[in-house]
Amino acid sequence: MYADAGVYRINYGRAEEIFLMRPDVVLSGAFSKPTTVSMLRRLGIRVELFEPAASFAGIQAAIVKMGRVLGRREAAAEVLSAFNKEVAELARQPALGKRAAMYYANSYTSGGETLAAEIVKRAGLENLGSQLGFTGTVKLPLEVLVMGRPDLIVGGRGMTKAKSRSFEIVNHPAVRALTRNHAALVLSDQYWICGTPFTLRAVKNLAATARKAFGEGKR
Amino acid sequence: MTVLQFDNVSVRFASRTILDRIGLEIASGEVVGVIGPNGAGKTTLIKAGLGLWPATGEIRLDGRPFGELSRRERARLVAYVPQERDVVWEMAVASLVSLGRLPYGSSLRAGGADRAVVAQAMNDMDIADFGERTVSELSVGERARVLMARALAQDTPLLLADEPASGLDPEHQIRLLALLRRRAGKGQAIVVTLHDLQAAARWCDRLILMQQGRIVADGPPLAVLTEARIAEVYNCAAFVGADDRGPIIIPTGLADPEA
Amino acid sequence: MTYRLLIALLTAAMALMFVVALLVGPAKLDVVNSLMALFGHGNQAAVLVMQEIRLPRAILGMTIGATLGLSGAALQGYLRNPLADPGVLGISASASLGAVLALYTGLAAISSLALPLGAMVGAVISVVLIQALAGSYTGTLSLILSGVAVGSFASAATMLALNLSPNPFASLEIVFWMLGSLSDRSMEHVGLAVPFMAVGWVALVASARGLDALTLGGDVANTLGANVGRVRSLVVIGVAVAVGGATSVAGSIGFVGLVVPHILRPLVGQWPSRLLLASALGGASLVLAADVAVRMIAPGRDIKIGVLTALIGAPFFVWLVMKTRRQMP
Repeated sequence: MYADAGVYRINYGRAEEIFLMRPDVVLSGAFSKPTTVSMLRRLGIRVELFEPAASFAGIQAAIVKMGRVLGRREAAAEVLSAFNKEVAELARQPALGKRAAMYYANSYTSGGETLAAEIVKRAGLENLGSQLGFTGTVKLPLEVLVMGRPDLIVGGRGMTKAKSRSFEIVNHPAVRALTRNHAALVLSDQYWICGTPFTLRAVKNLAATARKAFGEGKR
Repeated sequence: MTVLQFDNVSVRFASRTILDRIGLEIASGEVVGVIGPNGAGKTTLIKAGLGLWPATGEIRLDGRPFGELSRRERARLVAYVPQERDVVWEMAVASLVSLGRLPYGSSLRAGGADRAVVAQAMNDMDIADFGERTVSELSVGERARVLMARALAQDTPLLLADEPASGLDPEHQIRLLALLRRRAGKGQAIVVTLHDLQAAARWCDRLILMQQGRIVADGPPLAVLTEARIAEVYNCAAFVGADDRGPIIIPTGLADPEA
Repeated sequence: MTYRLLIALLTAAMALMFVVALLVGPAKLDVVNSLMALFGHGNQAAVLVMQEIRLPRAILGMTIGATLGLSGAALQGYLRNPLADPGVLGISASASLGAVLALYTGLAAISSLALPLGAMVGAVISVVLIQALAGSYTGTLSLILSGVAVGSFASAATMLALNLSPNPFASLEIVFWMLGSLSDRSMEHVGLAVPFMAVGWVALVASARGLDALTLGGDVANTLGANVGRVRSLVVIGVAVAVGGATSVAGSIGFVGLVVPHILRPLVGQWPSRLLLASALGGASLVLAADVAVRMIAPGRDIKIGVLTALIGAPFFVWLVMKTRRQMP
């Protein structure tokens, strides 16, 4: 696929370079670079903003909106129905009765109303962050993570090779002890970040890992 | 007994000769005043005798060459009282004086012998009652005596003091020098640098007169401080006389105003 | 108060704070279960929390506090200036710079020793620079100015390094390096930092008698038999190694080395040598107490310990200024 991607030019979100590309429409995230967005609009370029999806409902809405914005409603409808079909199939899988906890750099976890929480739910698992009553992405003290006895830990993969102190937490002996003795460790990857049809891959990978580690659940 | 000996000692710094082939001997029991105009090298002489300035020639403490002595041995042979009187920590006087016992082991584990020496030093400087007071509560003259007591507590055959009487009013100046004289009577050799010619003449057994890094005269006060010598070295006219207590030397004006 | 009584009281305070530090944390564990879990009994999660999270944190709080107190006392004794401390003189900031460079250039990935060594190099360079800038005159003004110069440069360079790092979290971590934090430290950090701190302590304690001799100045110290050059080496190396080790795992925690010796000095009869042990114990107690406070004030949020020490230190500076003004004629 990367060969196909070669057709697309990378930009760094600067108004000048985007303007020079003379686009018909610019797609951007709702919270990215507001100054650039308003500059482009002032230059007369059409900019469409997409909210980051915090749920599967959000993904569905984004698919529909993309179809409208690009003038390809039928293609969008096809993508949407394929998406919905896979979601329904996943729902038919049995729940495993196991608990996952997200643990990112700087001790953050994903509570309820986040995309990560929904991925976990659709994979048939409980989310420690939601059970503790958190919403959004919040700090989770290491002690509470340990006492919460998660069966599975979803860790953030380092985004670049450069080390950073924030990532040390994933290597903390307490976390390692958890994964050694009991919990499985899953590294979240690009499919966890953006709300797109590819998010389903994250769900499938997570469910497969859980099944492998803990066997089939009861029907 | 000779406690300090300089043999052809010179000190050079930045292509300037500060001490030029100095030779002298100091014996126990004498109070020697080192005098001379500003820049004559008095302080450097003192510092060379302590090993604080690198010098050529030979310096002997108690008959032993400087280089052969360890730091500790040297600390037990010669004590130093600098011109600066700042004490950065608000110590009690007794603690300050006991610093002089450092060359003999830790001054904090002060044994009976150490305490006795400290008490004696404080007695000798007439500050026996000052024990628990802090230095900042004292007058300049009292502070000078405290710092001197610290050097006496070091119990050395030789004491070198740089301008110990500077900034003191007549009473405190006389007290200090008289106490040093009394201490020398017990056997210690004491060398002080002085500006005040009268004090030097009255309280020292012997004077060493320096000019431009050289010793130009060495002997009893009235032999050293003649009117001619004072005019030549200090460019001052002076009244030189004596009363039944000792010499009287008073600069009265400039010898040659044009110089 | 005699010296022995003071040391006994400070040791008791430190021991008490150590125990309290073990018992405070977001995991609600009662005293009995906590202590049992510390020794390996009871439910597995509790054991993990006590042995791998709370214990290393308490050990680091104690040893880093001791390091800061001891270093402050040694610096004040050697420089004959009651305002010297690793923070004011920019030594902690330089150690942070060294650690940041080791971490973000990836050297620390090659060997975990690179981190404390980097911090130490930073600390040594800063002490050498301060002495070179201030010269042999260690009066307050020139010394503090040199410290501010070195510290400002180190902070600026640290921020630059973090901003330039390709890692997106890096620029947020400046807060850690400037304010310090003990949260989520592990026994690995303990193993990394404590040996270096211990070496530093040995060097600093060895300078004790020399510091007493320096009370009346370098020349008099010399004539009292002290080797002033050796005292300088011991203090410089001791502070660099100890503060370097501490900073590499906990960032730069300020004011402890300034406040603790200042408060304890009158209680040890002003003796620089006695102040060393007392400040070590006092510093340990203070940092442990601050770390407990950080966890009790806002348990959910991650307050950096440097915030608390600054809340003590800033009023302390104000008090110092008032005291100095009153002494002026």
